[in-house]
Amino acid sequence: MERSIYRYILQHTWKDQLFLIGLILISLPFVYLSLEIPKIIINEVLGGQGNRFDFMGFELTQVQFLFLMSFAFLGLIVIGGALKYVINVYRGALGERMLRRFRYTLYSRVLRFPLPHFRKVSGGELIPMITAESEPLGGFIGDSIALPAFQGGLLITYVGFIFVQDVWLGLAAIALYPPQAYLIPKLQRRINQLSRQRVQTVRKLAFRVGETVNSATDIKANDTGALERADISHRLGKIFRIRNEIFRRKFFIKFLNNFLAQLTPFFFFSIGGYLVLQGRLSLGALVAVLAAYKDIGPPWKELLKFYQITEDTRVKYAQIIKQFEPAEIRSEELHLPTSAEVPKFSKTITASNISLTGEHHHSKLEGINFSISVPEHSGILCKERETAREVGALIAGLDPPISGDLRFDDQSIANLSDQILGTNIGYCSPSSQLLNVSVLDNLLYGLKHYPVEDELARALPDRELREANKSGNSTDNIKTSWVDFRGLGLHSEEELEQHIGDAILAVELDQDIMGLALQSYLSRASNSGLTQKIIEARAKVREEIADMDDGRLIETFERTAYSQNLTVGENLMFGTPKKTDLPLEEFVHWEQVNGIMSKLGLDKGLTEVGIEATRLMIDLFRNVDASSDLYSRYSFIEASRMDEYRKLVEKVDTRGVDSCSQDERTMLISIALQISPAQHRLALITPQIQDQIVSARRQIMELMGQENDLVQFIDRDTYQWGMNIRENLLFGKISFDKRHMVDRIHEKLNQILRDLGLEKDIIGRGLLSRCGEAGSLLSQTVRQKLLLARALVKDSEVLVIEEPLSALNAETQQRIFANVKKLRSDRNLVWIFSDERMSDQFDRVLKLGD
Amino acid sequence: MDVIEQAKRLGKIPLFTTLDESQLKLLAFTSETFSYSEGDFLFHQDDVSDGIYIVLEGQVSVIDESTDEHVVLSEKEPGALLGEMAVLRNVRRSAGLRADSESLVLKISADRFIELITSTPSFALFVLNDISSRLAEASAELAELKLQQMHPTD
Repeated sequence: MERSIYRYILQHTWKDQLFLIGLILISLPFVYLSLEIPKIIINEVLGGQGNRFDFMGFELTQVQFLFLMSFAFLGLIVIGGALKYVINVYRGALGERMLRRFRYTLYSRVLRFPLPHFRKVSGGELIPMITAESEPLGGFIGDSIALPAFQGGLLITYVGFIFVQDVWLGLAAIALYPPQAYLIPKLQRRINQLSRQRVQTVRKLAFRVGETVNSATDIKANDTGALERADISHRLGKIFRIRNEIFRRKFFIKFLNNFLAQLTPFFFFSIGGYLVLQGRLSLGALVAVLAAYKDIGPPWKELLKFYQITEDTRVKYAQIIKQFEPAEIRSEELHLPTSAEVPKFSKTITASNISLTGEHHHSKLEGINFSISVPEHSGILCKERETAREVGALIAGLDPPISGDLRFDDQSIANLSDQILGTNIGYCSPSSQLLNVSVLDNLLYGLKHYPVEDELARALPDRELREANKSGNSTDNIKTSWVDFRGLGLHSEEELEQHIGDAILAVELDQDIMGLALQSYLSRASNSGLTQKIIEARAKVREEIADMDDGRLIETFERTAYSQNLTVGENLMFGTPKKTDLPLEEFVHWEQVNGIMSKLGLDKGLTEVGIEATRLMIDLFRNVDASSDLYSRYSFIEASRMDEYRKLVEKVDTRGVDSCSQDERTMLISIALQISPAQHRLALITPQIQDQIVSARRQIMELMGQENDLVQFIDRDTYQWGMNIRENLLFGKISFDKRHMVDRIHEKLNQILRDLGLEKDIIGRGLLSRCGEAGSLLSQTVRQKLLLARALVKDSEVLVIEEPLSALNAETQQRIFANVKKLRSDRNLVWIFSDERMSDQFDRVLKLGD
Repeated sequence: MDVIEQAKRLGKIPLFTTLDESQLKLLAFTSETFSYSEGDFLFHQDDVSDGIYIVLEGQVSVIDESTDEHVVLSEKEPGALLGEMAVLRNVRRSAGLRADSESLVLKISADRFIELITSTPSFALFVLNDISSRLAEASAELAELKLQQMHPTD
């Protein structure tokens, strides 16, 4: 990257900068004239002799000339303003474009970092550099040339005008610029050093905060909160000291500037006044000079400010790019794709004399020599986890060796591009991660190398294309299709579906995807008759599942019965909100619902339940630290409100429930609403309260009717949008103490759906489920299976797999391994494993380490 | 059985005798109950150890699943605590656990159990003690076995 920010700016924007300078030069004469005209008005029109004025051959009266000049002045202001507007918009766009380019360049460079480098840098450091820290650079780049040119131009115009009126006044106006120009950079230099320190300290702080987040468990487990707080306090103190010094120096500069700026009018009044008295200068000229001087202030200040920002930005730019230039960064030639056909690896992978002894390598293996035949299934036995990871990354071509050579079909890895390696090799290891997209998009990730549509279909819309080109960004259209199934030799989407299905079955992911599907929600927008089929399936589901395990498995929704597996609030509403913003609490305290509850005496009963439940919470969480996540996971009361509730219970104990205000009752009832008898096992919801709730429910339903805007009441003949597919099929809840049966229930549902011909529709929903950040919404076993399936869907020439299924039991691992071998029976497989017993299942086994 | 009754049951288990009443109630409240039918497995051998179990009602058996014919290693009555060693060692289940009758069990998740140890020093000490005693017993048994091997005629 360019070392100097100015060179970087000129390299990419010199044409735009020239255009801006042109615009600025055009605008300056208008500025000059807008100073000249007031002088003419004062001296010639108002203070002039005679009533007739000659203007371009026309004779005008004094009043006519006054209006002509006034309108000319107005016209100049409009033109000047319009030009300024165009200049500002143009330089804004220019800055944003350069910011876009800069961020894109940084991000692209991250993709070219050698893998071991990622162990040295943390996301916590890189992220702010690409986001927050580079933000001011955009503004600066737009201003970098335009601002000094424009403000400098204004300054010269104003000073020029003053000189034209009188040389002495001109000299007075600029007399104090030399000392300012000398002193301020000197003072500024120290400020720059300080801001450099500040950037580094803040970056380290960010790193430490990131580290705290990552090691929250260790901090808690070791009770080192005080130590960590002291460390952060020390760093914050350092930042304070630096900033404090920066402020002191910055404001001293400001003071100096202000003082010097106030000195100049002193010269004007004394020297200028003297000249007017002497009759050597007109009053109009002095007034115009004073006006011009008033206008000089802002551009001069802008220029000084710009000088300070320049220095600051120069430092920031240099510091940022330094972080994006690791020594072994992948060259652009090897990183960027070309349109040439990608050769396919078919013969051997050969390692000769490779050492993994660099500073980033843990295994310290030397003299690695092996040859893997591509058509075979090779096993690599490696007991050390770190070594397995490094060897896996090596064979997958992800970590080119510094000494020795790795050759694919006689071609050294040093000459193979990322495109060739990435297309030919599939890789799945414990460090592989899922993206926060749908299951399907994760499965297809390995096929999305480039857009596959023809040029026309994949082109960006004109406007976007133009902008992308102007800022040197990617012109590939993210919204077009990227799934290259033809590259796999498949001919249609149906074949691709079959291909994905094979991979899913091989890793036994079908049940899991069905599970995701059953727990997903349908949206009204995407409904395609599926909901009706689900309602129709309810009868069959009921017939086959409701009686399993003596009917204790599922608690069916019954309008006339209290449900032990729903909370008190859910029992009252007995439905789901039609709009997303209707909390249960709000519903229950809605005037009409409240009226029904008090008529039945339910509000009193629930207040009592609330008091008892609050007492219990206070007792249970007595010794639990407020920062503990036990509160968010189990407590009915947030840690921050515990004291408030404690005082409320004390009040009830001393002065009785009747002393509670309406708000306090509301607080207590909101606790009662959260209780679910089956889950919480609290014997507080007596049969009498249960009956009252069911009565209240019936009255609320009658009052609101099914067609209301707020709540969709549960109804056997309608699809319940606020519940997932499983609850809709079961028309009930899985009993809380039977949650361990969920897999068996899913299996049964799957079978019923298959019989009804709905399996494909539903499983499609599962494929669209989102995986969460790094797959956080999935269980570890599903994550591992999905990662392996992704590698299988890619169907690459070489497939390197390293201990992919550690979360599964041995039996399942063995079954999936056999499936994978079968699926890749005519293709390469390199399986890195640690269990010696697997050794006899490969064509060839390499042993690494001791 | 409500949560207060469950807390009382927990208090009778030797491992939890150091916990006070409100700690026991919190432990019960943050645990989950499951009811199993005869023949259901609570977990299988080689499963990831995600919690410890306390039998509240019914009977369960520890099963060696490594061979096709499942061998019953031991039978457990209400009040038994199961699976804590695997959680402490963070290893997979060494044997399966099967309900032999309608059974009600309380499951304390592994996270919660570890959290209890790290947040309650007296409990941690007790666990340490308990493990040391078991180690001592095992060592004694081993020594006896060795002695028998050396003097088979005794």
